[in-house]
Amino acid sequence: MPEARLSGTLPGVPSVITVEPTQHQGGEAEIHFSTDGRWVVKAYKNAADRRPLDEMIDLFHDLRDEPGLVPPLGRLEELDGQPRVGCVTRRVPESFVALPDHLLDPRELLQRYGWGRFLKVAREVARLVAILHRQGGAHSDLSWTNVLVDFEQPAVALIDLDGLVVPGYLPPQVKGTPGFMAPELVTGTATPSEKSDRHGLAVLVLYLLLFRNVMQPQCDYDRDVAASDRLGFGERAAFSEHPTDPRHRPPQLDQPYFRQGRLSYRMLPCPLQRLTEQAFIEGLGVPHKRPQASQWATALAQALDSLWYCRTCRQHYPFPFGQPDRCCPFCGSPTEPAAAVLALYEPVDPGRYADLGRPVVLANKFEVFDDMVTPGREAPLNSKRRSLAQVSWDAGQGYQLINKGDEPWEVVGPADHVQWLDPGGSVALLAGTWIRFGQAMRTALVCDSRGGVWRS
Amino acid sequence: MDQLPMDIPLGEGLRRLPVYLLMDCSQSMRGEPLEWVSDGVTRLHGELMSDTIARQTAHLAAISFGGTARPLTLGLVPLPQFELPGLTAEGNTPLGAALALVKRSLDEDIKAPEPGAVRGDWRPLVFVWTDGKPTDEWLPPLDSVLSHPRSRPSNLVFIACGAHAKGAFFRDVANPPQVHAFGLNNDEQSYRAFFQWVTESVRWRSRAVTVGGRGDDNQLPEPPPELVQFV
Repeated sequence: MPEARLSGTLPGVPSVITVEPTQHQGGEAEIHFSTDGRWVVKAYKNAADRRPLDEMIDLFHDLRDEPGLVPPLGRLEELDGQPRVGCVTRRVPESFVALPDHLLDPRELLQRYGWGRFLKVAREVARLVAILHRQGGAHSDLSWTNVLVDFEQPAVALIDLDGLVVPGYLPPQVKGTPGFMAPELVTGTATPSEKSDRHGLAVLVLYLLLFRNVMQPQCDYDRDVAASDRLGFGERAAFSEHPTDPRHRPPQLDQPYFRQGRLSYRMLPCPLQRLTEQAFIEGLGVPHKRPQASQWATALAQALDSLWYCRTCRQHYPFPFGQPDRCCPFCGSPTEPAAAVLALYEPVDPGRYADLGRPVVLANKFEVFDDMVTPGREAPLNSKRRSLAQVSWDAGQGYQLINKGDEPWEVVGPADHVQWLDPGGSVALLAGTWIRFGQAMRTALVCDSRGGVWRS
Repeated sequence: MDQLPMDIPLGEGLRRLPVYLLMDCSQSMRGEPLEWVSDGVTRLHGELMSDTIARQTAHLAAISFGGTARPLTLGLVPLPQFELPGLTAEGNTPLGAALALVKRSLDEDIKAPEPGAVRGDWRPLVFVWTDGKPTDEWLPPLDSVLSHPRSRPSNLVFIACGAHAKGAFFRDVANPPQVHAFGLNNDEQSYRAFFQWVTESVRWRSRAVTVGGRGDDNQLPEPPPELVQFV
């Protein structure tokens, strides 16, 4: 069996690895799997490749326990007796599949796990890219082939991190498919950076949520396919739902997805809509206006709390707050009214509260979790959330909210009547009621079932 | 409650990958060889249907040549709609007429990219297999296919099956990477290996153009040992 000799390896990585004799062709490298199934050895085809692997390994050494990242862990010196240039990474389990296969026909996944699962995966992708950026690196080739997903857990692995842009180094050539590259990279007027990553991330996130590339051209721009795509994603790039430029608008955008329609970004909660517009309208030609990865991660985490259920097609989708005529974007059935909607306010100064702009929709048995009402806290990724309140239905009194937390709530009823609600007690979900879930917690204003009241 | 049928738009943003299958149905293919061809195409179809990307990208056109040349499909059909009719073996080997049908299809069925028009197709793949020397003028029609102004194939592969076909006539036109010529033994295992390779080529190319953005590539996967390349 051939052996790979490595140097500069991080602790726990062997300096000699036995690999399978068969290699797999990557784009710029040959891929060899270790016989023990734990490692992947990449040997670059270009022997003159001089990328600073040591810097990349160093950049990642305190991130190596982050399960979602697959960074280089050592430098390849020799493979099967020949001097080679390359690196070693850990091997991702086979249950992780690259995104194209998932996204080109998402029906099975939608049926098995629902749209909310895609929202979770998108959040995870954004979170991982945010970690990269915080560490000072840029992926430079964020595309759907570099994101491996196990939808069942769910878990995400970001690969090809050995092409990273690190301070003082740029990859010698811009690689990647035009579909995910920022326009300035496609036209060749700029080099990869954290700002061009932001574009690729936005395309990825929206692909996961809307099952299409929102920058996809609808026509050709040249008689040569490659030139046409370079123009369509570069010089002539346009967001598919641009308010005044309809060139790349797909057909049947307003039809339900399960009836040959396409999902519009307007089905997303308002914060995600704004990020989409910042990424693809204001930020298309102005990279610094594109949202950062951390902004996507936060908005996607919050979007999970806005999900509503369609009994006709059994999909979850963001509750269409304040839009009484909206229907399920998947099957077109009218949206069922909620028990109530909570508009969340945060204390900014004594006596002053700011509308967070992230309403929470409630139905029977829905819960209010402590991360929703505690300032600065985000929902945990996969672990259980702590419930502070639950909705119940009482035939005589209507929908009630039960205090399941440890602290008494301060409740101000519609008639300005103040009461303290001890744990175990319940309050009627009447529009106009204010509820403070505890000291220094956020305050909720109960709105009607369409969430109309809070938008002043 | 049953799951609501999900009629979602597939092939979103994907260009079509045209694939032409030209199959010799001359007298000498009668019996087992034609059965192997039928099996091979059926299996190819089934395997491509189970690949998410190939299923949405590949569009097939099948043409038989035996006595006369006949299209077996109505132009290029999406993979889910492809159905191979029953094959009969008769007559001689009018490869030229079959290639002329390909040329006509390149004119009429292929959408070459045009500025302002709906997104056009990738360059076609063409696979031709025959067990004997062509019995008509085939070099001019071949040339009209290979040098088609808008839609010339990225790859055209000739496979010569059996002892009589191992003649030099394909050797002369072999011109990698656009034109390949292989010899193949006339037995079931060889046919199987050959169709497996055609399947793999279509799957591989579908992936390369869709996922990798490598539209200009005309590489094909390594052929199996049963395919002996003429150089």
